[in-house]
Amino acid sequence: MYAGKIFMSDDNLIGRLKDPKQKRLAFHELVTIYREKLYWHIRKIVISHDDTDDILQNVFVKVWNNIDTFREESSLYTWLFRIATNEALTFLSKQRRKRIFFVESEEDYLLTQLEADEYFDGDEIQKKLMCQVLKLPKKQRLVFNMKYFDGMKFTEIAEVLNLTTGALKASYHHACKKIEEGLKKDV
Amino acid sequence: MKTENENIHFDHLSRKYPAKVPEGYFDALTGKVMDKSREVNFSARGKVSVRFVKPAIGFAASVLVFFTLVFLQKEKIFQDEKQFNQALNQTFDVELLLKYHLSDQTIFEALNDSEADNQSTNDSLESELLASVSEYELFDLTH
Repeated sequence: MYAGKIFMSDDNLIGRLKDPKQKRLAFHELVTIYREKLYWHIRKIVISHDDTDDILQNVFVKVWNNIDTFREESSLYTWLFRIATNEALTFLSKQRRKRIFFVESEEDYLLTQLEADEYFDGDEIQKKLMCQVLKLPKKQRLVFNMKYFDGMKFTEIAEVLNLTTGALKASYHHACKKIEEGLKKDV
Repeated sequence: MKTENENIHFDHLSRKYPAKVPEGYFDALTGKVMDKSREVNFSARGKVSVRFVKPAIGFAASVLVFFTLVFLQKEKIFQDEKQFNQALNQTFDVELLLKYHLSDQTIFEALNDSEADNQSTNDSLESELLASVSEYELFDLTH
């Protein structure tokens, strides 16, 4: 879904990004193409819009700085998603270190963020689903978000997270089970 | 193992992430990112010059420290040498004074004349000695 149609011109875009004369224009194009996908990917990890905004800008700055070192061993979208995932997870780790004196778990922190999110516009059942998603272990949560909400293929997720498809399928299966059980208890 | 088409019991829920963004956010984001990339470019240029200047400053500081240490050491050596020569001269003077039985007044003046410099003290001592020793003794003394 992701790699197929939208990013057919990635090779051309990479070529222009690496050309100093065309870099700025090509970068503008890249930001326009990927901003929404990366935004929602990060938002599902960190929940807060403001944090997502900061992280996303950092992601694009990293892309701008490192595009010359991109060796094209993976597709551009995989590379971007990988940077975005790493940045978001690094952000959560930093938050965890800051919260060390408050004895608040990552799950509690994210649930608080969800409660406080003024841009959340789901109904009650969707909120319950999100609460269950936030209770998942980090890896399962990532896999679930990418599969369920983004509709990515396991092979694509495997590339981004650098995991085998077998492991991903197992993670997704466990995640679905836990969410189902959680929702049943909640209802 | 379940497949990608696994039937999920909560599948009836919307697969759209239930949140929104402030109006016009994505358009504004592109502008912000482009501005940031410009800032990064600018600061990167500064970093490049700092990258070259830093080692040069470090090298200059090392050279300065090295020469300061060498200079101080040299000063110390010269000072020691000077003190040694002075001590040697004084010893030599005292020996001469004692050897040639000069009057107590002369010895006292020679040793305690702090205002006169060493050279003039030595000259006066020499003339005193020359006046009081025989030619043979003078020959013996200088050889």
